Amino acid sequence: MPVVGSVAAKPAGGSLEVNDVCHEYVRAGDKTAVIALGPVSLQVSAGEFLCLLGPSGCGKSTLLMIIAGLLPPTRGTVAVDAVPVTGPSRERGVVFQDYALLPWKTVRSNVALGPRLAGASRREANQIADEYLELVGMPQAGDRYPHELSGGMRQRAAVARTLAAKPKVLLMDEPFAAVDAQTRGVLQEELVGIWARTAQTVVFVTHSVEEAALLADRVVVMSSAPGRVQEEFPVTLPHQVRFSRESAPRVAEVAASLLASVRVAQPRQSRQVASWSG
Amino acid sequence: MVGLDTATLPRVGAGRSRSAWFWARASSLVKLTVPFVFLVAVWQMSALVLGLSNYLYPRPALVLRTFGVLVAHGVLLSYTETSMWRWFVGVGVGTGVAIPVALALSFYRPFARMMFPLINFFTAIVELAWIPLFVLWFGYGFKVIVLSIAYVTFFPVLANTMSGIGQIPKASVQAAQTLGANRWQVALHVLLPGSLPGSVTGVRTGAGYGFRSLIGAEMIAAQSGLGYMIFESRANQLTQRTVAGMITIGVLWLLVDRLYLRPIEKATVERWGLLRRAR
Repeated sequence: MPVVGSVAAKPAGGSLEVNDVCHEYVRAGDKTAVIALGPVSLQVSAGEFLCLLGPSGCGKSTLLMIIAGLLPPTRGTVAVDAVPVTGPSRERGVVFQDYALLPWKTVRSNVALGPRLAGASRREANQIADEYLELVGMPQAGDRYPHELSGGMRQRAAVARTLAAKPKVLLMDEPFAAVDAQTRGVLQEELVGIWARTAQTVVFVTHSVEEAALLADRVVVMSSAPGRVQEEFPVTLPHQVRFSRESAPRVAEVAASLLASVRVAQPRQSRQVASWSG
Repeated sequence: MVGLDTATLPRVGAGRSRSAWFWARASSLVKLTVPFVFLVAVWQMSALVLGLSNYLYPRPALVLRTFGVLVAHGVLLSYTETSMWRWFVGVGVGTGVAIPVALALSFYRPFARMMFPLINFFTAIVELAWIPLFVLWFGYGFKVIVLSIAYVTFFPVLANTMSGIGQIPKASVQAAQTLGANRWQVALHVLLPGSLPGSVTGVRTGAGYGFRSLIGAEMIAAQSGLGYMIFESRANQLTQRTVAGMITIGVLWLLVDRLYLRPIEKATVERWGLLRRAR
């Protein structure tokens, strides 16, 4: 992919701090409060690529929505560059699993939305949009509508849209779970390339140990019911070499140790099922 | 060979589809006409059997001649114009008020729930019941008629827009919020376009209600228009004009609905359906 000067020149991402965040909900049946998440504390430094890994239902997506400001925590605080989070804002961009592109806008208008909302003129916004579409490798697709694109292309457009709003922290909620395995591999490698060039802070939610091993600087494994931090794994393998064939065994080694941790993190019932099935 | 294939195939295809289109049009025209021919036949026969005077039961031939007279005097055209303009403005006002109200209500859900009984209450009050009050406030004429059309248009547009907003995926709203959209920007960029199929369905329904309301209101509160003509002709013992007016209304609605409302609704709903499926 070509390097786009003005995009690469953007300042590094912000730092993120999550302090004792809890999420509770009231169960419909007996009206008792159920703790779904927490307390969870995390520190993510500027420019770091953090993966939140855990079994489904461990609250990792809930945590991401709380960081995004889309869900208020029952207790605890979230801060970006030491400024407390009070609601959704453009400093915490989210890439959703099902793309969430606006179907009535062209790809370019979708990507231009962030700059437009920030007060850029239509012309400026479109120019920025085209830069970011080039960054994600789809410079020709600006005039097309989301429904005309494949799943992989839609997710690229969604990444471009989020980046074009120039967030301090990029939040990704299982973004590649809905695309086929081959495309996923390509998207993962592209994402690492973009991350390396933009020095963006990334929090990436996934349930795939391989994905976490390929992408992260650091993996936080979460346990379920309630969702808590179970274990942290720094991944020291340099990003440049992770996608090469020679590194495959080392990536697999990381994935294996992550898998062992996730197995422990799973609630007892599903752990039994897992051991039966292999 | 390949060149020949690609050169000839599309032309054959296009020719076939064009004649298919013609026959489809012709057959739909026949299907549209047959019931009306039948209606006129029944009308003529019943007039002969009943043997009533033209005042009580005007015959098709007389009504046809009346049409000629009304057109020749320019009355029919001018009344049609007047009525259609009132209807157009009324539907526009009703829609223009209903959509922002729907957006505002969607921001304040608990408040909206509180308002629903009130909305139901007013929906139940037929607009004709308002006319005495409207006349008291605004006098006879344009304002009263537009207001009663706007009144009946408002409710279906409101209900359908709100249900359209309800169908917008949560992630679309969240995506806009995390791109920096405030409440009004969410409304402009997500809720308004996202609920468009609902709004269009509402406008079509509301336009139908408004069309009926137009005639009713013109009977009571106007000195011109088709409703006025229908009502006043009977009083002047010109029943054939009443019937001519009735036929005009029916034909106008068929035209408006077939040429404008239905195609617009179909196009929007289909396009948005396609988009939504492929989000």
